[in-house]
Amino acid sequence: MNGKKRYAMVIDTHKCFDCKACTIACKMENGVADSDQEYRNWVDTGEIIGVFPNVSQKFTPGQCNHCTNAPCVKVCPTTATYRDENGFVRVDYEKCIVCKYCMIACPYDARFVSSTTHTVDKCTFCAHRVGRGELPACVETCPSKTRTFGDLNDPKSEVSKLLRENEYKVLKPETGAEPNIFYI
Amino acid sequence: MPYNKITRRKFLKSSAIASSLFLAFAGAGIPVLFSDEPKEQLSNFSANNYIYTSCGICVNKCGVKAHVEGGHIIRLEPNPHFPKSRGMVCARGNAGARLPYSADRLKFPLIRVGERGENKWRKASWEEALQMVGENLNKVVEKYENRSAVMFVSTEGFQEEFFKTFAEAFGSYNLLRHPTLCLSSNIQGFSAVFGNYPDADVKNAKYIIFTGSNRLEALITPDSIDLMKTGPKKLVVIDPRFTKTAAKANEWLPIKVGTDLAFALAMIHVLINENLYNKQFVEENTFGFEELKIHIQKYTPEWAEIETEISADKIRQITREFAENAPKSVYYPGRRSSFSKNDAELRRAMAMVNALVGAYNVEGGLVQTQKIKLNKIEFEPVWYDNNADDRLEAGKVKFLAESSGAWIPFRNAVLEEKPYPVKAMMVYKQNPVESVPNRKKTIQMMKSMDFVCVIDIEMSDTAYYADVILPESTYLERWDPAHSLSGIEPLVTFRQPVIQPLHDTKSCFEIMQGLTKTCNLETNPFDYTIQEYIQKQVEDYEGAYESLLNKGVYIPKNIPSPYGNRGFKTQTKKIEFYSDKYKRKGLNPMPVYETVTEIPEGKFKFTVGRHAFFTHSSTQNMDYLNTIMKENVLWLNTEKAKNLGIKNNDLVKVKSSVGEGILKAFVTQGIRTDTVFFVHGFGSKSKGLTKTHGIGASEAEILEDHWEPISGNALMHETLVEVTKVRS
Amino acid sequence: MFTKKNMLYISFFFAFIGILAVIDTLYFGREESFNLTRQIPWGMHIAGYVFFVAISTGLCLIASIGHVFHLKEFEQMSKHLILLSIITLFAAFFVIGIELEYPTRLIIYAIISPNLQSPMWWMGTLYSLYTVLLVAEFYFLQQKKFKLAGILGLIGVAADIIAHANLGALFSVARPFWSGAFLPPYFIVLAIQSGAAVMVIFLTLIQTHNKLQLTSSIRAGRRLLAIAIGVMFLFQASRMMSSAIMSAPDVYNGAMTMLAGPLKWHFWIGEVFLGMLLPLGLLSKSSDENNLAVYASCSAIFGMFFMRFNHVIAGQMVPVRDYYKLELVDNFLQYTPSFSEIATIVGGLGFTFIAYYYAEKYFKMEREIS
Repeated sequence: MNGKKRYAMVIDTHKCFDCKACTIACKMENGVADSDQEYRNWVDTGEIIGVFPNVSQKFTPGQCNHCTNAPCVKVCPTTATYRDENGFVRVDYEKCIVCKYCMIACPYDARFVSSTTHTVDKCTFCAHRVGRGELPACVETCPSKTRTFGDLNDPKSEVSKLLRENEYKVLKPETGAEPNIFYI
Repeated sequence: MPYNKITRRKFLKSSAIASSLFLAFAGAGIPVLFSDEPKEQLSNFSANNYIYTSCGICVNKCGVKAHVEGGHIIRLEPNPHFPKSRGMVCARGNAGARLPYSADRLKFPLIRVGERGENKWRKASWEEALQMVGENLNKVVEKYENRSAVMFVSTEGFQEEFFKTFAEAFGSYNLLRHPTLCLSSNIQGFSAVFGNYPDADVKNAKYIIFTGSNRLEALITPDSIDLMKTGPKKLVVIDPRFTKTAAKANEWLPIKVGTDLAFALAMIHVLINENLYNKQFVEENTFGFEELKIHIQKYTPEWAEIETEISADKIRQITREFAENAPKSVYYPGRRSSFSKNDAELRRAMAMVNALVGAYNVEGGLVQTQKIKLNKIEFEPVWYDNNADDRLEAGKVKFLAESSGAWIPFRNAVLEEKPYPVKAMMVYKQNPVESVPNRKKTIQMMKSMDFVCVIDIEMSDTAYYADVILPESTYLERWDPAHSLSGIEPLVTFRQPVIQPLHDTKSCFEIMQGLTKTCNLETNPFDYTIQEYIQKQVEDYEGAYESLLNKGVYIPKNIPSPYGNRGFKTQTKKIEFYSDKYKRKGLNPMPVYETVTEIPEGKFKFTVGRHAFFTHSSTQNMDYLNTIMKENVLWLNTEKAKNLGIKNNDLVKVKSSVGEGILKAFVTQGIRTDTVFFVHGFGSKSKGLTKTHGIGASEAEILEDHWEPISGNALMHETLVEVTKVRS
Repeated sequence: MFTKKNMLYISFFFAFIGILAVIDTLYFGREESFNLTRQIPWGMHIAGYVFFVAISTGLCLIASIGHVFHLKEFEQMSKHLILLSIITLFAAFFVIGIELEYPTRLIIYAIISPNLQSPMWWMGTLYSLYTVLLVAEFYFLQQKKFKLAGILGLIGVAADIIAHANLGALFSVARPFWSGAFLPPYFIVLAIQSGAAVMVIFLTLIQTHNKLQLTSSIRAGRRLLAIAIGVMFLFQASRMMSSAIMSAPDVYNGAMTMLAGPLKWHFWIGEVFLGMLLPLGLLSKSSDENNLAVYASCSAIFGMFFMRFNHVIAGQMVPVRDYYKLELVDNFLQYTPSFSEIATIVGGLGFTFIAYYYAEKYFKMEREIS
């Protein structure tokens, strides 16, 4: 345990087949309510594009990007949303007033009002599991291991390796949020 | 519907707002805002406990470790010791953690008080319910002087073996299981060629052709996982619909429904005529190659092009690529049930394609499965004189599986009461009302019974028409026997309870123990506890029972390599291109193509298929899963939809010769113009399925009850439907 | 029809509806009572809040302009306008108080755990300051300390302009459709338009009910309203044109929700016709002798509510991520306010009238002209 950590996730969309295991596993692990409005992560089922029979379809998993320069952190009036020492963007449920400004400001639709906490809620990168040395629930349960989680400051980590060996992109780089979810 | 549609709660709320406000003013009590799930404290398990067991949501039985806190299941995590599921739990497996807490569960025995299907019940004690079942079964046996007048209906599951044992002890021939709604024709076809039904070595294959099988939506471990994790170099998907598997494939060939046999035969034609087959393998291991060579000549790719609407060039290209990658190429045996009347023949032809390139029992090809042998506690069967001579549908199917039967011919025979009346029905876990084509006939059959008892965990459509419903404990609340999962990497798993039963429910084993008494059977096949049974099952393997308890899995150390020739259990002890067995049954010794029914103008072929969120018709009502997909929609080609004046989300009616359904249209470029599709398990009859009752359309309602005579399998792609717009 | 009695009855009825909204919200909880979604988290309440705040700002500006520049037409009624400004500000607080799950936490954590980067924090702080200044100004006006009131008014105007411009900035940092330098001035013009319209209505009512001669003030209000609408017209026209012709997809789609999408009726009928064309037409025919200006103002107020609503909703209707096509209608997210949400705004209006009526009585201002 030397030096600061910069946790990140690499998502290989080629491997995703839209099974939604990540979404349900996350809901179980984190006690997210059974509602189509409430989810911490998701898989966007792309439209079937093209003209029969030359069609294609993409599946894109998404979640909070735990941005380095997070817009949600900037707009929160009470600092209920903050970035912790591991780089996880978190919500302090005690301070949240549910003004939903963060939901508006988030470029990724990562936030929602939770009917269990009655505050704004979002992905924590399963900080409680990571603290125990385990992987986030979505990563652990994923059948094709579309998601890879690790410390970017560790050059030997799987995520560092994937980013070295592959071309990658982030979503909406123009917002300047510096997201920490990388797509290959 | 807009995304932020009004939820049911909201709708109820707005209609109730005036009255509730009035009540609030009148001070008439505090509303219950959140229905609390039961949170039992269990003494058996300490806090932060992981309990190893296996998933019970579908056929795969993936290894899970249950994270239980204070007697409450938090999550079912993947069991890392369980190689078959490759360290994953799918959406359904995850949602299973909430299954015991479902509000729609059957919580105590129910006895019908109204008419069948009227949904009027009274709560009963187990003593009364079991007594009632025993008396009624015996009454039917006495009245018809035939123990086979009681039919036993079940589907796969670890506890099914107790149900089967009970049926055997009861003395009825008529055990009716699910295979003929599933893969009977497939097993029949492959077994006719290889003498067994092999698995595909997806992990090592370089080239895979899926015909109809939709491995990324109909998940099968480890195949589905290997497909995406390690993956073949090239994946070809032949399917009338652009499935999620097709979305991940290198090529999607939207074949005309039911013509897959023409494609397979043309592949054989190209392999033989272009000398692409493995001559050494064919010479050493096969029988009837010369006959096949002559037989196949009429099935040219040009001929197949007319049948399949896939170009001859494409067929040649695929075949050549397939041969190039051999033996690491697989024409995948998996299925989406059976398609057309050609189905058993299709499966034979597919097996032959694999055999021709020598992709058998080699790495990356088809591989004969292995199975770890388990013991059983035997019982003394009793011979009953008051019994029929044979199964009800005996003689109607060329290769009838005696232990499973054939659903549609069986049901038709019940309705005709020939050759003898069957008047009582014991159902375990299966849901024939939604899973057998032509729902009206199934309901009619159930209504013709003197007595129906259903064992299930929720009020399935079948339970809805029962006289007595016995609630089963879910797979997380009970012990289940050890189960040997065959495959390229075989293993043994089992189940132990992760929580105690939340309601007044029993396991199938306990129910069968009870029924043995109330039916006054002359033999007792259940004279042991289930733990004793498991120990007996694995007694030949040292440390197996402990391994099951502590790791949820047992794998013996000395499993031989799956590869290499292990002989063929066919008549000729070779791979049979020419089947004498078929010939003797009056069938074609080699696959012969019969032209499929043409689709008249204005009609569509109705196709079926699965979804990664649902297991057959059993999980659509589950919390969390239903939230992902709340209703089914009709896939309709954009061009055809335009002609019919149907837009996306319009309400449409689908009508076949046997039934109809109303659901929303999903207008897409991802389906053939002559084909429509919807996911099954919706449009439920049962009001106990609160999330699917009357929502969407039922597949069983629309499907016509065709079946194929070789294996007795139901034919799912032989139904023609009309589609009309109901409203925007 | 617009007798004192009838106006009161209507106001009480409106307030009653507002109370129903409060009960509904507290009884069922915000998640159930509001038709807000994950994708459209800001709805009618935010629009209503901006609406009331803008009225308050506008009234304060008009009153203070009168003070500062000694414009008799505005100055003579400035106390009334300040009172009304305070009341509408409290109406705005009422609406946002219903919207927020934990309004008390805002007060606590805005003090002990502030985020100076957040426009929301500045909004809270500036409007608190503004409230204090307004109340103080009113107090000194009441004490007839006009000089002190004038100074406070001037500070108030500054705080007010900053607060309201900050409100524009609050939106503009969050979503592409709301971004742009035009937003702060747009909010100021909106405020003046709102203030002028409300002023015309209230002064006419005061003139009728209290038998005062306010013709010159009303005439000035009329003119101010006409000018504000004219400026707003140019603003909206240039904004829509630039959005529709050359801009990023999100901005283009946002504009399209209003021009041709799901908000087209809200825009063309509500915003353009009721908010601009009809009031301008009525104002052109209005004179000191007829009441057309009141109808013009009512219409303009309706229109401006639509304007706020459209502004808030259009910025959210374009999904920030790709959804499954089946879930969207014409590629846009949908929002229809619930009973409770609409009722809150109605309640706010009722509260404004009732509060003004009794405050005027309490402070004995019925017949007062400064």
